[in-house]
Order: sequence, then structure tokens, then C-alpha cells
Amino acid sequence: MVRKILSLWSIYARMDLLWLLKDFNNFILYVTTDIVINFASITGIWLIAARFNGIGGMSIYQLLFMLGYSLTVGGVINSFFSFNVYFISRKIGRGQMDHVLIMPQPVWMTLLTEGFTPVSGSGVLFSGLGVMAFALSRIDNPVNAALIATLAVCIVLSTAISLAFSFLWGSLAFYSPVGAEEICSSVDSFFTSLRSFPLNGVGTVSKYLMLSVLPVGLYAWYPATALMGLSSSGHILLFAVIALAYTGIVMMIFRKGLQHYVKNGANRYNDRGHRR
Amino acid sequence: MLKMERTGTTTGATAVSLDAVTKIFGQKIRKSTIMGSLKSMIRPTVVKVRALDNISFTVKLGEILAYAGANGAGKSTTIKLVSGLLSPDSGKVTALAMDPVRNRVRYMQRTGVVFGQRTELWWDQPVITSFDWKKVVWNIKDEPYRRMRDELIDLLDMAAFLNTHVRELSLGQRMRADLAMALLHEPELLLLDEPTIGMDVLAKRQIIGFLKELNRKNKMTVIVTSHDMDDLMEIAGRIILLDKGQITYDGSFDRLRALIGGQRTLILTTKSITPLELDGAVYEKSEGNRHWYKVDAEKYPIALILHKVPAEALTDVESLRPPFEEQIAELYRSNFGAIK
Repeated sequence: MVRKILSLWSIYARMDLLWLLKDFNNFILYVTTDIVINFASITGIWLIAARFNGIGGMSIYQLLFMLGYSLTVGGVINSFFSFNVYFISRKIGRGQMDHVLIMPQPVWMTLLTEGFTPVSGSGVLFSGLGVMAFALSRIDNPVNAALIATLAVCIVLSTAISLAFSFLWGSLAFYSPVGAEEICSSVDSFFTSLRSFPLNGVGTVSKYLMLSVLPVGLYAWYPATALMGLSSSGHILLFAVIALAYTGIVMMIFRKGLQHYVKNGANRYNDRGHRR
Repeated sequence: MLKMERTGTTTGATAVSLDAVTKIFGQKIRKSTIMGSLKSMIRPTVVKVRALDNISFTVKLGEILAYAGANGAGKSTTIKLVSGLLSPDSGKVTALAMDPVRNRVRYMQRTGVVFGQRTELWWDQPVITSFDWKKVVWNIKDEPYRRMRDELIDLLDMAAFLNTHVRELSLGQRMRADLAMALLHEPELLLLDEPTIGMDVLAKRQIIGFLKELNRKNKMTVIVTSHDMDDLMEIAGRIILLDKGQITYDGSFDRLRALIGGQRTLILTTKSITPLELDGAVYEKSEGNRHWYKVDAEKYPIALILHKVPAEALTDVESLRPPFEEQIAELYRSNFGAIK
């Protein structure tokens, strides 16, 4: 199974590279726009932090670390879940799950590999990693193998939560293909606009709301504060439990939706965005 | 329903079987008034549409089956059921001794599907890259992949556009590439939903010839739907006709043609503007001294009808055979029940 996943990632990486070589101008434009948009989404917070020398108990470089973390998670999503895998409601709403179902492999394997674009999607990922490395060089936290390993695990967990949240709302498209086709874009906008805000000063109810039902705090703030030692290291364990529970629940909901799709069929088909 | 003799190259074993399959879809009825729409929001009116109504048939291994019917007859629903994209509400679908939904992964390894209005190819990649992608996803070994790929490139005449990006292909070229994609893993069962839609005559001929050749060589089972009766007649020996979710005919094309094929339009040009009375011909209309009659040539051979007409009364005789599609449509209009 691992071998199959690696082979699939390998062919998708090759195809991504071929796309780059075919249309270099388009590629540069695409990557640059992506980086600019993502940087723009964190600049506001960065400027406020710079003006007031930090926000809500976080120093300016701790905040920069959090922003870099958030960019990195966005970059992982871009690199691994392109081709509307992250925007799953489009795939479902347009009847394109039919293409997934005629492939002789589990649906999860298709969704895990089909959106792999390590060349065109990695601009934001490397920018995020760069920002994090710069921030870490300016704060006192010791950078060792343990921190790097925990950081990598946290990024995977944040990606899982973000993906699960998108799939949770995207599953609505199984029941209302037209109405919910673009719901994942709204989920993405929600994350993009709120993921960079530190939640230190937010009221308790709002904070817990943003760490559970609307898990925007789990995208970057919660793991970043734990990684920088601003909260107890037990929070990372709790974070892992939440991420796994969240992903498990969403997998069940998505599975149920897929069963509904196979029982009722897709009553519309639109090839927009399919394998292009 | 008429049961006719089966035709085609078959081996006797069953490839696909539908046993009392029913598929019902719910259709929301929208109201045109504001009050009606508001009421529909709270309590929508849902009409049950029986896309397939207790359908049963089997397809033998190595057989080519044409599946035809008017729009909404249930053709695509059947193809989706056999593809495992849809599960039946009642009844049982078995293909290659498997349940297509429950055994999806194993089943799709042995099945090829082509939907005429969709593509499995990668739009921004050369055709050959999509083939390489298929090799990985379908776990095709190097040797059979190369052999089949080269054979398909040759048979479908694809060498010229193998390195062309899919978005730059003509419809005919794209269909050929899509067909090749579906066949690369040497499926035992091929499901084709409108494979020739929108194609020109030359491209159609090429694809039909190729399918027949593949069936002859590899004994591959094929189920094909199309609106074009002439295409189906060329590909398949057996046809199932659907109407409103029910099978109205299941048998050979020859027998179907015999059932409906005697219909002729006889046009007589006479010296008089008064139409002649002919035994066995039904008078339809006149335009000057040209007179139209409908004849069932199976029952009343035209030669026999004309034998009784004085030669000096006639100036010209024309006999027209309506296109097969028109005859089927006429049969639908006159309710297929008449020949049940």
C-alpha cells in the first residue's frame, strides 16, 4: 500500500513538473500570485504586531513564527491537495466523484494522492518554512531534533484538521450538489481570514468555540503557542487527540455522504476543474 | 416482451446479470408562483420517477449488447448500475461474478468504462502521460502495458497525436484516446455510454471497426448505449430496447428489422389525379398525380400489389424504406405493446 501511494505521488509529481515545463510563464504567474495572496493574508497581523511590539502576550517574533506556521500549513494543503481535493464540494457537486469511483483503489487513496502538486504548490510551503526558520532564529527557544519532529507532527495535524473541516462542510454537496458546490471556498476564506489571529485576548466562550466547532484556532495559534512553550506541552497531546477525533468523525460523515451519492447518483455533471 | 435468439460471439458463461432491478429517483416539483415556492420550501412535492422498473437480463461473456431507448428511458442509469456508480433500490446487479458496488476496487480492475461526454484523460498533459498515469493507478505491469499501448496506438491510429496535449485534440481524437485509456488494462467487460456522440462519420467508422475487432480477438464483453441505431446495428448483434424504464424488446437486430422492416412508402405517379385503389396498400395523400401509400411489404409484396395495376395507368413507381431510427420511433409512438 505504501509502495502504491509512493508510485502515485511519483507520477503526479512528474505530471506537475511537465505542466511547469510546458507553460513556464503561466507557472511563474500562478506561483507568484499564490505566494502574494498568502503573504497578504498574514501581513495585516504582522504590521499590527510590529507597531505594538507583539500581540496578546506574544512577542513580535513569536507571532511571526505563528504566521510562518500558518503559511506552512497552507503550503502543505496546496502541495498535497490540489485539483479540488481540498475543495471537495466542487468535485462532489459537479458529479466528478464518478471518476474517483471507477478507479480500482480505495477512495481515500485517490484523495490522498490525486492532488499532489509538489512543484506548482510548493511556493507557499517554502515561504512558510522560511518565515518559521527566520522567526526561530530570533527567539530564545532551543531548536533541536525534538522541536523539529514535534513541529512536523503539528503541521500534519493542523493540515488534517483543516482538511477535515473542509470535508465536513463539503459533505453537504452530497445532499445539495448545486447549493453546496462552492461551500469549500467559503471554508477556505474563513480559514484564510482568521487563521493568523492570535486568540490570547479572545473571550473564553469564543476561544473554545474557535478551538472546537470552528477550529480556526487549531490551524496555527494553538499548536504554535505550545511549540514555543507559551502553553503546556500537554496541549500538543490534546491537540493530537482533537485532530484524530475530528478526522475520524468527518471520515464517518463523508463515508455516509458517499453512500448517499452511490444510492442516489449524481444528478448533474460538470467537467470544470476536472484533471486540469 | 419478445425473447429472441441471441447473436454474437459468446462463450456461454454470464458476464453481466440484472435480476429484477428497480431504480427510483425522487424529483422535486417546483412551483412557479411565490406562494407555491414558499410552500415547496416547507413541504416540497417529490415525485417518484421509476428510472428502471423490474429489469432483468443477462449478457454472456464475449457478447456485444446494444442498449437503446429514447431520452430518459433508463440507459445511463443501467450503465451506472453496472459500473458500480449507483446501487439498485431493489433487485440484484452482478457483473463478472461480483457486486459492482461492494467489490468496487476488484471489479474496476477488470472493467473499462467510457462515458461519451466525459473524459478520463488529463486535460493539460500529452495523451501519453495519461496512459502512463493509468499504468500506475491500475497497477499494469510493464510488459502488458507496453504491448497493449502499442497495439492500441496502432489500431486507433493515434501515433500522430500521442504527444499532443489533450485540450488541443479534436473530439474524434479525444474519443479514440479515451477508448484506448479504457482498454489499456485489458478489461474483460467494456461499458460504453454514447461513445460516438458528436463524432463525424469517419471517426465513428474507425471506432466501430476497432470495437468489433477487439471483441473478435479478445472475446471482450461490451455493453454499448447510443442514440444512433445505425451505429448500434453495426457494432452489436443483440439489442435491448428500453422504454420508460422497462424492456420492450430483447433480441437480435435481424429479428427486430423483420418485425418492423416491412414498412415501405410506395409513391405512384399515374396519368390521373385520382388515386388508384390498391389491395394491401393504405392510401395516405396525393400531390397532383403523385400518390402516397403505406405498405407492409412483408405481408403484401410490392410486386404483387403492382401486378394488379394496369401498366398503362402508371408513369413512375418509387418505393422508400424509412430509416431504422424512424421506424423504432414509430414503434414507440404506436406503443410497443402491440408487438409484445
